[in-house]
Parts: sequence; C-alpha cells; structure tokens
Amino acid sequence: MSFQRRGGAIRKRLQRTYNILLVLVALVGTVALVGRVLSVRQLDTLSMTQPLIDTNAAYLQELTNAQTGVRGYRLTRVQRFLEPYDNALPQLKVLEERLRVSQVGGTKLHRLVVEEIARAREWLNGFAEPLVAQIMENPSADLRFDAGRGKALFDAFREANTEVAELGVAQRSAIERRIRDSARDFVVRAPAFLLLALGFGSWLIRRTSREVADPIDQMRSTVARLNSGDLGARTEVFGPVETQELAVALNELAASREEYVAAQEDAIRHLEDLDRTRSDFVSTVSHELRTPLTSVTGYTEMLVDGDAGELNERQAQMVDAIDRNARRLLALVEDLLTASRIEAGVLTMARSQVDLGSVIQDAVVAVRGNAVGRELDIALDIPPELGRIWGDAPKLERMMLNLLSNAVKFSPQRGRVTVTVSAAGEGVAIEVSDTGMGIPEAEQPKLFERFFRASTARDAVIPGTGLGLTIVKSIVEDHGGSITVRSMLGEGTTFRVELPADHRGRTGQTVVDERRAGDRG
Amino acid sequence: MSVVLVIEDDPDIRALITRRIAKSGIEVISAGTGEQGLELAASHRPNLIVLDIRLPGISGWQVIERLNADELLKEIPVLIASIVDPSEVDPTDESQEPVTVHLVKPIPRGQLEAAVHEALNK
Repeated sequence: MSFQRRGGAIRKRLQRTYNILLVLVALVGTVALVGRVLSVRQLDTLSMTQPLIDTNAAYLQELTNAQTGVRGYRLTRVQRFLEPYDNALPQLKVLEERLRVSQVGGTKLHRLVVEEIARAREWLNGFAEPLVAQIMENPSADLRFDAGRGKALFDAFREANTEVAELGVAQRSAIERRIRDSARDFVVRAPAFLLLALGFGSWLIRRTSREVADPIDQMRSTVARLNSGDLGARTEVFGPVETQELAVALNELAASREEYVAAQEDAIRHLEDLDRTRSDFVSTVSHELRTPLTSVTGYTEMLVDGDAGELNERQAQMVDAIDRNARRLLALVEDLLTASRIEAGVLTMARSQVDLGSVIQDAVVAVRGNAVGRELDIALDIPPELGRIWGDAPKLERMMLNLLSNAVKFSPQRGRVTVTVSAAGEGVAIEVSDTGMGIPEAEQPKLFERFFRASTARDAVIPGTGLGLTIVKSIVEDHGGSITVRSMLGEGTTFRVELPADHRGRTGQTVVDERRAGDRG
Repeated sequence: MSVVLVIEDDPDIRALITRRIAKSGIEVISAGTGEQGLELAASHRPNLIVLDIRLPGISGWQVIERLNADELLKEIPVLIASIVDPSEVDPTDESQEPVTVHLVKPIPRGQLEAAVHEALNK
C-alpha cells in the first residue's frame, strides 16, 4: 500500500511548525535588540556631541581671555595684565587636544575643528606670540605691529569657531530628531510587526492541528457509525502518513468485520434452515406414523366391541395388549409432534374458562388404567370452591396427564400418588407427588430440557422419551404460570405448578371467546 | 334414508369409518380421492360428507372449495376426520364454512358416531 506523502508525517509537521514559530520568536527578538542597539548608539553620539559644543565654547572663551591679556599688556606694559594670556595658553593646548580627539559628527565638523585650531594658532603664533615677545624684549620701545592684522586673524578664528558651534548644534538637534523619529517609528512598527508575527503563528498552529485532527475526527465518527451498527461505514484516507495508515487499517478491520457478520448471518440462516427441515421432518414422520396407528387402534376397538364376534379370554387379553401398546406409541408420537410444535413456536392456544377440577379428574381417570395391577393409591384433594381458570382445556389436560403418568410410572408397587390443589395468591397451585425413586439433585435443573432423562429412570429401565416435562413446562408457561420440582432420592418427587386465575386479566374477553368457540363447534 | 359419503385415501381407515357409521344403519358410500368423492357427491347428493384432508391429488380443502362453488352441493355439511390438528388450520379461512366438526384421528370411541348423528339430525 502506498500513501500520498502530502507534507509527511505528523512528527515532521509538528517539528516544522515549531521551527517556524521559533524563527518568528527569534526574528521578533532580533528586531527589538537591533532597535535597542541603534538607539543606544544614537544616544552615545548625542552624549558626545554636547562636550564638543562645550569644549568649542571654552576654546573661544580661553582665546578671548588670551586676546584680553595681550591687549592689556600691550597697552600697560605691566606684566600682571598678561596673566590671562599666560593662563590661557596651557588651557588652550588641553582644549585643542580635546577638540582634535573628538571624532563626533563626521568629517565635515572635524575639518572645521582643524580649521578653527589652525586659525587660532595663526593668531596665537603669528600675531600674539611675536607681539608679547617684542614687548618683553624692550618694554619701553615703540611697538611695530599691525593692529588690523591681529583683529582680522582673531575674527577669522571667531568665524571658524562659530561655524563649529553652529554645526555642532545642528548635528545635535539632527540626532535628537533622529532619536525622536525612530522612537516614534518603533512605537508604530513594533506592534504591527508583532501582530503580523502572532497572526502568522496562530494560522500556522491552526493549520497544523487541522491537518492532524481532521483525519482523526473522521475516523472517530466512522468508528461511532460502525458501533451503531452501520457495518458499511468506511473512513476517508487522507492527512499525514500515520493517520492514513490508521484509516486503511480501520477500513480493513471494518471490512473483515462486515464479512464476519455476513458469514455469521449465513451460518445462522443455514442452521435455521436445518432446524426447520428437521422440524418439518419430525412433523411429517409423526403424521405418517399416526395414520397406521389410527387403523391399529380403530380395529382393536372393533375387536373389543365384538364387531367380529365375541372374543375369548385369551384373545381379549392379546387384543388388549395390542391396544395398550398402540396407544403408548400414539402418545409418544403425540409428544414428538407437540415438542416439534413448541420448538417451531406454532403451538397455538384456544383459551376459554376451564373447570380445572374436572380436567384433573378426567386425567386421573385416564391414568388409573396404567396403574392397574400395581396396587397404587391415587389420592385427590381438590377444594370444592375451586373456580375456573382462563386457559386451553386440552392442553391443561395434557399437562395433568403427563405429570400423572410420570408419577404413576415412577411409583413402586403399592406406592401412593397424591394430587393436591390449593389457592395460591390470585391463582391455583397444583401439586403432584409420588413415592418413587426420586431424582438426583444435580439433575433437577435439567429435568425440563428436551430428551433429558434422569439417571434413576434410565437405570430402572422405565420407558420414556424425555419429552413429557418439556411439554408440561411449555404449557405452564403459555398459561403465564411456573413449575418447580422437589425431590429426595428414595423418598419421592413433587411437581408444583402455579397457574394465574386469569392470565390476561380481562373478563370481558372471556364471553366473546366462548361464543366464538361455540360457533365453531 | 340418510346417505353419508366418506372420502379417505387409506383403504383400512376408509373401511373402518364406513363400518362404524354403517353400524347404526346409515348408508355409506366411499371414495379414495377428492375427485372421485366430488363425482359421487354430484351423483348421489349425500346428506353428509366425512372428509380427510391429506389426499392424493386435490386436498380436502380443495374439495370443500369446489363443493362451495357448486350451488347444489354447497349446503351439504362436511365433517373433517383428519390427522391434521385443527390448531394447524387458519381459523379465518372462509373455505371452512360448511365444516361442522373437525375430528382428529384416531377418533376416540363413540365420537365419530355421535358427530355423524348430530350433523344428520340438524
């Protein structure tokens, strides 16, 4: 299986996003740092421009002092008046040095400073110094000097000094302006840049989480659909390689589950078909068996009735044996048929008001025949006030017959079978007890299963199909009742059936049903 | 004198039913298939038909349908004597209209005779 590698794996995508975010953070930091460095440098320049201006002013002051000294000395020839000049000389040297080293303000200012110093020196060395020396040499002699030239030299210096001062001030205000401007720019641009960076960052994060989360969301909803029974649900294969692999795996899983369920359904259908076939088979066989048995019982009846002439005692005994066994066979076939109907769920109920007392009495009469020669005592305890119950009379009779014939079958010689009917809540309880061999406790829960036979019954070779109690239980449950068993090995067994008085709880229905039953009869 | 038509494919059971009804002095005619039974019904106009359901050829239900379709035969009461349990029969089926009694084989002693007498004396 190959995947379209759009952007690669989740890990790569996340790393790429984090890297881009890191670059953004670094960029923002760098911009802030550069801005800060630039402004510091501007402030440095500013802080160096001011001393230049100050030094320049001091230089003018000192040279003016020198001029004043020279002028006083020239006029008075008194040494004391030369003091300002003498004082100024070392100061001037210092100031010149300062001016020369201050490299601020670019080459133009520097050139002007050099020019200024040259002018000052021209006045000092070319005018003031020779003049002072001349006076010192001969204080009384006439002075030969060009006063105009001194003034011109000094004016030239003053001019140069003014130029330096003006340029210095101009540069200072230019720097101040630049600082102000860049500060203003920063206030405007930094937030804009920051917003841009934040916007791009969050867009990137959202895009990356969508790329990863969208396919996962898709798979989640597919799983939800699968779980809610939509077996055909499949997920779209897209996104990073991992989610694509997961999606393909999920789809494969869903497909195999769908196949599995389909196969299971097929198997169930097949089993149901088999079961139906078997049920149909049992039903057909039962019907086919009943046809010859009808002839057998019919003709034996006629023989007994003397239709073919009176039977002698031995003949009568033989015919009776044929009749009994044919009826037993018929009962087995009947059980099989009923069991197959129960299984197929087609055992219908024709309900009416049933006189339970007479149903029980009829059943007792019917089983007395089986008890002949065994000296069995069949005791009946039915309260006279026992009312009617809502039920299917033939089925209730079948239920009593099965319970009673079991009790008789498992009772020993001179045993005792007891039928007790009593009120139980709204309904009735019927107990059928025998003094037979009993049923092992471990086998009691399986007693109502189809074809199950107690080990005690099998050991004693007592005939039976293991269907009787299954049928009883089905009839009891169809009437909304319940059946329980109590048994002690060697002492006997008691079956207790509880039936509600009116399973449907509607008396109005009774009349209608009886009328309909009457119409049909 | 009453005539009863027995339609039953199994010869032993046919003989048995015939004998049991004839014992009480009723004339019995019999057929082994539905078609044959319908012919006899048309020619003899019996007072009662005792009918099996599982038959070779047309079934007992089809016999009833054809009887119902015939103006002259639809009034004849039908008594079903069958292996088929009445609980397996759809009770809303209109074709059962002339059926008076549905007996399940083997029919207990006396019940067939009683049902025949009741149907004839109606």
